Parts: sequence; structure tokens; C-alpha cells
Amino acid sequence: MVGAEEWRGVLEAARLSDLAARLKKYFATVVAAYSFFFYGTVVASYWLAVAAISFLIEAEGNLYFWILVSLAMIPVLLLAGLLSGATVPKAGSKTWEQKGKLAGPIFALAFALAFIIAGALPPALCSVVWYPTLALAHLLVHLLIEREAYIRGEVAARPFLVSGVSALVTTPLVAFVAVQHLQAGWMLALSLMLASYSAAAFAALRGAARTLEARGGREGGEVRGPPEGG
Amino acid sequence: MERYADLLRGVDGDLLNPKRFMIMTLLYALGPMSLRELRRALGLTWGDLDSNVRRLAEKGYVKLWRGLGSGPRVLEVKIALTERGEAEYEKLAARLRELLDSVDRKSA
Repeated sequence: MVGAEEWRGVLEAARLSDLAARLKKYFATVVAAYSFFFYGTVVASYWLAVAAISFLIEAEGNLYFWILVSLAMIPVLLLAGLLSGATVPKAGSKTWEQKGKLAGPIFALAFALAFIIAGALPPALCSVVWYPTLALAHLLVHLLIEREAYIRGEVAARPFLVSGVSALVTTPLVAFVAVQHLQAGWMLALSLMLASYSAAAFAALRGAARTLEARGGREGGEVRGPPEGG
Repeated sequence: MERYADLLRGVDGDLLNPKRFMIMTLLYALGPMSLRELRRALGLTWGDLDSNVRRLAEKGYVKLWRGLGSGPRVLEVKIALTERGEAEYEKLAARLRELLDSVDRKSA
């Protein structure tokens, strides 16, 4: 026979382990939201600074300048990765732990291909080719990593899907504006990138909140005794 | 009641020890941390923590290593769940969840 006190302890352990599982999912999803805010800010601030410098030294039309600043983005992102890795909780999604390393090569490969293709495009479209590339890279990360983590219940939202789809949907608008005015198109792309990142982060935060609310009734309730007749 | 107790058969009894269960739960939810942080979070004595952590390490549920510390400490002993520990904890949590669900259904 299981004693009433022991039974009570088992039920408390059950509630605690349930809460632990939801907390783990919550942290993994909040980390995703934080990453979108963080990387979005880093990337936008970098490219705004680059644009300011290009205006200052009148290098807007200099191809070598743009190749150089694009390559300089790599150590900036590595540093951002180190900084964000040191501050976020270490508990997270198992799928992201195993496959997360794929994300870097996916972005690198997508942008390398985009820059090769960009050479054949008119200058107006060349200036915004990074925008659909980013969208496609996000969708690839979703398909190869995020989707599995979501299906396995390790995260409560799909921010890469949200940002990828919203960027892809707004690409024709960006291309249209870029054809009218090169700089306006480029700035619109940057602004829409930030908007899509914010939407993705917001979706992730909502998903994280839902994770904690899912069985909220249980935690507040009194621990019941063993049911009659087991 | 025995029927509910049956649900916990096959689960490592060591994990049902309250202190070891709390250590595993905290490491599962929050990830790797230093032994100092773990001790403070659970309000355990060093002796208590040491004996329980050693038991979990013997079973291969946790791993310990020296890593960069926070604040003035250069190196600290860190602790994290191993893959086996995580799997065993998830197995226990699944059984406990079943138990909780059946209790909820019964009381509804």
C-alpha cells in the first residue's frame, strides 16, 4: 500500500516535473524570441552604419566596398553569437542542440549564392537581393531544424517560419520600390526585415506564454489525496 | 491506489528520492550550472549535495567538470544532465504525467 503522505509526495513530484518540462519549453521559445530581437538589432545597426559610411566616403557605387563590408559582417555575427550564447539559458531544444550548427552554413551558402546571382541583376535589384535570400535562408532553417523541434514539442512557436514567410511575401514590394529608387528600396527592405523579426519574436513570446498557461489550473490547486479505490 | 503505484514500476527508484528528484528537475529545466548555484537554489548543505550528486554521477545521470566561474571565482565545478540522465528523467516525468492525468480524470 502507498501511504497518504507518500502519495501526496508523488503527486507533488508529478506537478513539479510537469512544470519543469513546460519551463524548459518556455525557455527554449523565449531564447528564440530574444535571438530575433538581438540579431535583428545587430544586423540593422551594422548595415545602417555601413550605409552612413558609404554616403560619407561616397562609396555607394563601389563594388569592392560592398564586398568588403559584407565579409566584415561574418566576424560581427560570430561576436554576436558568442555574446548571446553567454547570456541565454543553457537548457533548450534537443533538436537545436544537435542541428543548430547547420544554421550558420545555411545562411552562408544562401548569401554566397545570392551574391553570385546578384552580379547578373540590374543595380537596383542587386541592392535588395539580400532580402529574399534572408527569407529563403529562414525558411530552410525552419524546414531543416525548427520544424522538427516544433513537432517534437521542444519549442512552442515557429519564428523562422513567420519571419521567412513575411519577408518572402513582401519581396515584390521591395523589388518594386527598389526599381523606382535604389536607396528607398534598400531602406524599405531593412525596415521590413526588422518588422518581420519583431513579428517572429512576438509570435515566439506568445507561444512561450501559452506554454506556461497550458495547465495553469493545476499549479494553483491544492494537492489532492489518493482517490478512492485507486 | 496500487494501480497508480504500478505506473511508477520500471522507473529508477533513486530518482524518486526528493533531493535527487529536485536536483534532476532543476538541471532539466535550467540546464548546466555550477554546484554552488545548485546548492543555493535547493538550500542543501555541501555534504547533502555531494552525496546525492555522487549517487547520480555513479548512475551516469549527471556529469561534472571544471569550467569558468562567474564573479571572482576563476574555476568552478559545473554539473549537467547526461543524455542518459535526461532520457531517464523524461521517462519518469511521462509516468508521473500519466499518473496526474488519471488522478485528474478520476476527480473530474
